[in-house]
Amino acid sequence: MNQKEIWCVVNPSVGLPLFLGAVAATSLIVHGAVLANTDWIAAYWQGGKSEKVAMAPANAAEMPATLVANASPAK
Amino acid sequence: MADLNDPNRVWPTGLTLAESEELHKHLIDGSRVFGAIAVFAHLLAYIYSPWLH
Repeated sequence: MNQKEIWCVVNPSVGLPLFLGAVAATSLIVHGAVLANTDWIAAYWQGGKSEKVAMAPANAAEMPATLVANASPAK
Repeated sequence: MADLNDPNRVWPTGLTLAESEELHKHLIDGSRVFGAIAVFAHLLAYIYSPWLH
């Protein structure tokens, strides 16, 4: 509380909005930076990964058969 | 209307030291609540996202 006299110098109706606005702006910038530099926030927003994972094994099982079928006529 | 000639008022804002301290106390309490929520959010991000793994 060593700054408790600040509001005798800085008008609260100016200082408080500035302080809260700065926190909000910083938060937006950091979230934007993480969104821009990673893929997992976009993936989280995209969602639907759990269905894709469930589906993937099913496709994997069929894959070899279809490959063989397609490969043989090519010779 | 507050007495503007009150010797306890400190200028330029005209608040008394007690008013300034009371306001600052609320600001610090609010910042602590914000900090606690932020720590919890970072914990969730660490657990459920690839961050730092």
